[in-house]
Amino acid sequence: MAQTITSSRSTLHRALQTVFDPLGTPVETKKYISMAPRLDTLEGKTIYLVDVGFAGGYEFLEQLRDWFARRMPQTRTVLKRKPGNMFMDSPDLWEEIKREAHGVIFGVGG
Amino acid sequence: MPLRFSFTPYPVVGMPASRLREYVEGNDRVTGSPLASEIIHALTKSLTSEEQKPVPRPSAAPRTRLLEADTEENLQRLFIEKGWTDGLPIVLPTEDRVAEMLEGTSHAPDEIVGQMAVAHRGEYTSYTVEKVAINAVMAGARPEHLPVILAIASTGNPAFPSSTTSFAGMAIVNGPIRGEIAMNAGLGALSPFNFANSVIGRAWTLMTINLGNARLGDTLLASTGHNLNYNNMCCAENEEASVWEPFHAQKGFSRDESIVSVFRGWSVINSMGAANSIRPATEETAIMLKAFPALHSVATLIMDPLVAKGLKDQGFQTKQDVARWLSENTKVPAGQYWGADVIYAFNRPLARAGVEPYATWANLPADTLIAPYNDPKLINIVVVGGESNPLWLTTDFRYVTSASVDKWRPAGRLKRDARPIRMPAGVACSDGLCGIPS
Repeated sequence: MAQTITSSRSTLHRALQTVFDPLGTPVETKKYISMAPRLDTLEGKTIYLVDVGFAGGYEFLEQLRDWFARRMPQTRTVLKRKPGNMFMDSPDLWEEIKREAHGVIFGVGG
Repeated sequence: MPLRFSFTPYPVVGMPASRLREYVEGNDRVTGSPLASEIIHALTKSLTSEEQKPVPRPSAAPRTRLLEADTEENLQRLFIEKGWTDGLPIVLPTEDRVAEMLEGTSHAPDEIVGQMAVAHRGEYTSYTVEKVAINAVMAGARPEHLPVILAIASTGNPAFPSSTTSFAGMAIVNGPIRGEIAMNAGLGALSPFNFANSVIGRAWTLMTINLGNARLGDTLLASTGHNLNYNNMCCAENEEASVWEPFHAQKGFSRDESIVSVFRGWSVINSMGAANSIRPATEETAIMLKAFPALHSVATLIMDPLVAKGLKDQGFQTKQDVARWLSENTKVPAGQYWGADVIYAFNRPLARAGVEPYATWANLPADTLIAPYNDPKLINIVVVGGESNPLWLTTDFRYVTSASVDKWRPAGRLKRDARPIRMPAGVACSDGLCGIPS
């Protein structure tokens, strides 16, 4: 009897099965945007430092601002808190950055 | 879409200025190169061709509907090693089993049910009725459960969205479907003693993994993770034992409709030891609510029917009466409220923008009491339990949305097995002896 059980178990393990792929279908991204051209140099440029709102991010960017002042004084930095929380759009700030800045560094964690 | 990242050491939050300065002058956590140089590099190094003309990631490539045939042992291993399960053995979604599962709905297998992503505004995946059925089979569900599982899927909400804070979810079922598929709303409803509660809750987890694309360390960064992610507190409301309006009726649905409601949060406190006798349940709940940061001013109570009856006897005629009392009487010092990092992150910007009541609260002395659960409509109550003790659970869960189960039913009757699988019913002390010899 024991031999029969072993035999049927082995048969079960050897039998081939066809199963479905359980994963969803990635939604096609309609539009991929190229990154903005890079700057040749940061000298004489205005760089925005934008905190998106996670706790600690602003304080870190304060240190980064101070680092630029010490090490790269020719670069002007503007430290900003993004209006609203980190999940909200801030179109006014985006427009200001396009208008006023040559580049931007986002602080996106905390 | 490509972006350039530099990574500081971690954590940033709570670090003194001296440590943050060390971070800036130190190395990138990932590359090991000086962080400041990495940042400057990101702003000045010429774009690669991919950065100029981004292309879809390889994961977006079309997948085959069926996997290559293999043995059960190998396929079980494949599903686990691919990260397509919750780490427990699954029922393999064979063609026969999925075809049988699809008899649980009248909707076509290729109908799109929704889109899901665990990462906020991340890359979504879409899924069909068939994909939901596949994950339902894997969870061990039967066709009779499929309408509830499809309803959950139709919300597009993952059970645990990606956050380093480790979210948990909850699914509450109301209406006639509860009895039709023998869900448990009574004794031990939140424990692993009911087939329908177990497989529906697990199906939500598997859908989150496979249809919401939850990949640990990639799309999912929950630091501690959450044990509720295994089943998502899936149960039914005990409408029959409740003295109050059912939850779905509160949301505007007919009592005769079958509805699943999903919630999201982090924390659950059991009222163990506080039975609404020495101190009223409302006061005890207010004490518990003070332990939460009151993010978004939300709370959800899972309350044994005995507590509901006791509160009604005390004059709380409706769930809303309880919510109003809690909203008005749960108070914390302003300093405690603003001292929570999540409140700082979410509500300080609102205070700075002049949004009330945050603008006022931000200017109060630290010891001034405020009532942070300021909108009683955001305090929910669901009656669940077997009346073995007047206790309850206080959670920081937010009500997200509700979805129709009836929409997903098969034409005619619910597709039920000839002999439906049922775990032993939780009938406590049916003979009056509770197992104690006379």
